[in-house]
Amino acid sequence: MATVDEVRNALRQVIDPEIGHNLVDLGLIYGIDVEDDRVGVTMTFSTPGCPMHDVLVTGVERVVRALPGVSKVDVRVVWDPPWHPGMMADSVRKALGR
Amino acid sequence: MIPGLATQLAPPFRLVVTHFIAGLLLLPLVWALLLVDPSPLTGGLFGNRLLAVVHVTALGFIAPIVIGALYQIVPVVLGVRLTSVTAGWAALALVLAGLAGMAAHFWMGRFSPGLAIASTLAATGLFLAASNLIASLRFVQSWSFGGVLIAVSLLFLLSAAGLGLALALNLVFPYFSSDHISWLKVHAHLALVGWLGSVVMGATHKLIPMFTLGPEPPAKTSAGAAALVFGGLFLLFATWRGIAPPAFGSIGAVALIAGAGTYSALLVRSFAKRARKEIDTGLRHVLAAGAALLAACFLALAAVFPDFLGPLWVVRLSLAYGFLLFGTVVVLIIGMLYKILPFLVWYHRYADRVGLEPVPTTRDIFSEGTARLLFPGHITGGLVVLFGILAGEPILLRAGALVLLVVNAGTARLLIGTIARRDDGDG
Repeated sequence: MATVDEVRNALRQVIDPEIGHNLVDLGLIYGIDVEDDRVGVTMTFSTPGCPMHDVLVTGVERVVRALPGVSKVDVRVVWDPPWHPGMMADSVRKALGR
Repeated sequence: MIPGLATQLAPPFRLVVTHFIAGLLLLPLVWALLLVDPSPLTGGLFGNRLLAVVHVTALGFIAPIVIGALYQIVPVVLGVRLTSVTAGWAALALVLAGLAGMAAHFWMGRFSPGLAIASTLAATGLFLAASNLIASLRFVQSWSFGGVLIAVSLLFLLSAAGLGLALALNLVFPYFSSDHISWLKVHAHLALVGWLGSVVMGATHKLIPMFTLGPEPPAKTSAGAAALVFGGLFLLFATWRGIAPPAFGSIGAVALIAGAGTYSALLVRSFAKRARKEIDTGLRHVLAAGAALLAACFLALAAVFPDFLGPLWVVRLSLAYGFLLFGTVVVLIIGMLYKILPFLVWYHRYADRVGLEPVPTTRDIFSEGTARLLFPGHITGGLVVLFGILAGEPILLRAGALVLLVVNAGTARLLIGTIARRDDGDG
């Protein structure tokens, strides 16, 4: 069975190609639930109608499913609470010039 | 390919980028024509060679790129499939074939039946492209401000193309000669303010916040600003056509400028609150386009008081106004291409590898450094042409056209090179 930290680290492999930072540090991952071989990921996007929606969701499914002991991945995209820049990691905020 | 909304609905990559490539290759032709003969920007308002230059810009550069972008944006953002890819290809072929004939006839001053055929081809292409997109929009389930503006823009495109065809036919087989100039002004503003203004407002409302990680401008205030622009535009039309007294024209110009100013202010406020503080070259072009629009609005206000200017300055300021409006759109398109095209190429080449292997970012496949080098050339060339128009000086116009020819060719090389980029995984 994978741990929450292992899932979070795996999600760091998924990079927003336009911003150049991973989904975890961008603050787009709202929650990770691990139950036996099933992993649930709750995430959002910086803007509704984001053209990266399907690519990044599929990327999340793939990197989590590749973890040992994971056989089912459920990615849930939510818009509440809406994402805001304050959710980004300090390192990303600095890199983006805030 | 990855299953998902955008991938399922987006049109073929080749259709969209062929539109972009056509536009990028034809923009340098505008400056080559002005290098050969700068008189279109020193003479009267509606000379035949000015018509040639304007139509190469509008139908050669702006139309293919904007229509190509709409083929991508409408399915991906509004969640509907493009009705017919074949019609998309046919429309592009018709517009380009028609443009070739129109530009040649206008440049040579030959208003023969060949011009009527060429104009019919170009207008048919535009009708086909607009109808194709409108047919797609029937299935939109959730309308946003941007979606409504795109729909409105297509109605303006149909109107501009229809009136343009009527005007071209009137040059060959005169049937409303006494009204030709006032209809020409309506045609130009249907295209530049109606069609392109709607596209610009609709697209920037979504894209600028998306690229800068800023808040979307409020939809209701944005809609109010758009209503002022369109209301002002129709008051101007009514005045030019003699339906309304001249005072309504002044009110219309002020309303139009107030609408454009309000919308620009909303975008500036969103921009000021952006999370990404870095201003890359694409966004620098957007800011430069905003400055050109501001200058065009200032000149439009001046044109409300022609009695103070005298005929020479009315012509020069009107030419400068038109150049700035076109400049706003051209610079904005180049800036948006710097943002959108690398993303499209990335999506086409790498989207199905995300999560399986490390993939490049859009910055890795696009030379920001080259774009940064070209940017001052766009601004310098544009300013030299603007001063050339105001001074009525052919040497300045030629110098500016030469600079813009070089930098636009560089832009085309940079962006087409990005499209054609190969990597080890392409096989």
